[in-house]
Amino acid sequence: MSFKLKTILLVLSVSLIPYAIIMMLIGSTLKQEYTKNTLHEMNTQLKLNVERIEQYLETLNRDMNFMSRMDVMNDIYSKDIDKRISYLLMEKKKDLEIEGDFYLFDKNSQLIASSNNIEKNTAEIKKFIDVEIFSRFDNTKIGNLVLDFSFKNFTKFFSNTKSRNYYIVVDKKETMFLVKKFSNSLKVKMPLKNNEHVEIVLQEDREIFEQLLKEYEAWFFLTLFIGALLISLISLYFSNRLIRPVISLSKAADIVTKKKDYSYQVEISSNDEIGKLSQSFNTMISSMSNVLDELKTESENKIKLLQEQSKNEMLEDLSNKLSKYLSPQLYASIFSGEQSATLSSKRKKLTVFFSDIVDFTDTTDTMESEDLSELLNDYLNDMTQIALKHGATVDKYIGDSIMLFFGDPESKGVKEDAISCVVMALEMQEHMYTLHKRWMEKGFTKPFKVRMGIHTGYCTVGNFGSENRMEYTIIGSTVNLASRIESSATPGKIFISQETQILIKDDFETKEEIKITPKGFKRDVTLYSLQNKDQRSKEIILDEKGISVVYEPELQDEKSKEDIKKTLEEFIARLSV
Amino acid sequence: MKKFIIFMFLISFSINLNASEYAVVVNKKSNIDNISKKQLKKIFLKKQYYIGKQKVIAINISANMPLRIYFEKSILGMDRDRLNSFWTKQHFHGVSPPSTQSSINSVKLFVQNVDGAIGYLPKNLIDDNLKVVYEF
Repeated sequence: MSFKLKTILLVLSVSLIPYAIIMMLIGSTLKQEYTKNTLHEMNTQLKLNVERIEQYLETLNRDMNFMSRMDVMNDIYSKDIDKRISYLLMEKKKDLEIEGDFYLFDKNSQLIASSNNIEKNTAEIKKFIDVEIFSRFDNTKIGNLVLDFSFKNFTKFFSNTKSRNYYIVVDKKETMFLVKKFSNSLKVKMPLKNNEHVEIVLQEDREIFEQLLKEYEAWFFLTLFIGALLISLISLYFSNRLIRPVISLSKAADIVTKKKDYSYQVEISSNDEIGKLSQSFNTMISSMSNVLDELKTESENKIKLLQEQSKNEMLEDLSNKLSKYLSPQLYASIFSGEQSATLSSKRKKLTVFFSDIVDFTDTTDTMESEDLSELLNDYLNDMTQIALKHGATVDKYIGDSIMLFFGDPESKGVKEDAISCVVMALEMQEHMYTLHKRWMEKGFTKPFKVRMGIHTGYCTVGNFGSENRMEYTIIGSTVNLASRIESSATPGKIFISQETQILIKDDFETKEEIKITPKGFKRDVTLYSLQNKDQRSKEIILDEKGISVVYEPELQDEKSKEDIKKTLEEFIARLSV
Repeated sequence: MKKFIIFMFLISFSINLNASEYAVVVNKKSNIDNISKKQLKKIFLKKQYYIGKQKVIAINISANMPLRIYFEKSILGMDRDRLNSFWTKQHFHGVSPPSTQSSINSVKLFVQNVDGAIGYLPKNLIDDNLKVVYEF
């Protein structure tokens, strides 16, 4: 059941039921009141009539008493042969206009005279009033004067109407003058005072009243119906008015839920609790809308943040990947914004380094390409690690050769850069022993020999290429010369130009090796070899058929020396067999 | 018709008034045997009510009857005027005149039926039920 229906039913029951009850009460009270009033009125009327009848009877009685005392009553003795008594009785009857007759009996109950001349059986005579007659001269009873009375006499007192009717009940059984027997009647009865076996009854036809009542009831029900209708309409109107804000609230809630329209507002039509509820609803909706807006902004911000983050991550990832193709210095300077990605260049004094593996092409011919790439990558990786450690900018790998330089984008100073380069080169050469050992373990028995060349001079450094694809590199004769120096170097040695030698001679031992005239150069160039700590003199390499030994004293401790001794003794013993 | 017959009857009696044709009668059971004229006068004027121990009730016939007039004249010795004045006087003493019967027959019946009744009748009507106590 809907709230609306409930409210309507409630209002209807609250207003209609008391109305109906009151109307019904009025109706039944009216009926009762009518009955009561009618009975009262009937009683009054009956009483009045009974009193009149009694008075009439009293008068009759007095008249008869008077007659009984008349002298003429002495005629009883003479049997009324003179008809004086009869005459008197007849006259009296005429005078009184009664229905019925007077009869005179002597003391032997013999009929002496009557007010009619009809011979009548004395037994048939009803003695309604019986008066004794006494003799005028000696006061002895000489007879009775009797009135045979018809109750018809009472009818002249009865004012019968269509709906009202008097009748007489004798001895509670014999009913007389009942004009009409009503099926539904109101009755009042009263016995005569001096004749108690006679009861006068007044009846009122209730049918007529009922009919009236029915007519009245029709009006009553019409009124009731109209009243009920009016009440219903009014209650419907009021319950609608009551419910309207609730319905609009629920509609609003629906709209808000379905359309997600948080700007919707309920119309506030009253100041009562529902009005307050509507106000609260509006407040709730607007605050919800605010909260939603906030949430929206927040989530948008979050999404932006996330997007940015992922972009950043991607960028980072990308840059990480990119960094492997770039030298860290270059990378750092690009990412810090110091270096712009434009085609621009500048001149700078740099120390340029070249290295390559001697007879690499010959070696590679005898190797599987998988092994070769592993080997090469291993070598390049280690070399690059060392180069980066010393702050070199790795320009490029050209097959097995490495080109790198010091002084751009970061420079410690020309001399310091040159020293750094030399230190790096020395470490690289030293690292070659470690690599030899590792490779031998893997089965690459032929050791690589690396030659290196270093030269310091002015270069043009910057981005070269096209707008779409550019390269950060150095160009100039210095680069050329550095390459020439490297190709002139003996395997396993580091050759440096005079320009570099001048810069580092205080810190490193150098030895003049050869003078060359490189292609495109007009003058001779003196080359120096870099003397390291003479590790080579300490190193023993045995590489004969069936045996391969590399001895590095620096790497040995006492125990391993003992082990080597034992192995060698065993080796010698075997050889001599 | 009835009245006419009675009238004729009365006329027939009035012719023979001179002879001793009337008698004063009592009930035959009465112990009165004869009454003097003086006694009769007293009884009919309501001056005497008893004869011996017997109460007597005088009965007159209707005032306009010739017999009554004759009776009054011969026994009471008074004319109607005197009688009227007498009874008027007596009325104030609470005495009313004797009761009357309108016919001779009713007088006869009355006397027959009432002990102590005393009335007067023509002699020819007298039978065994009556006792003659005086003739006039």
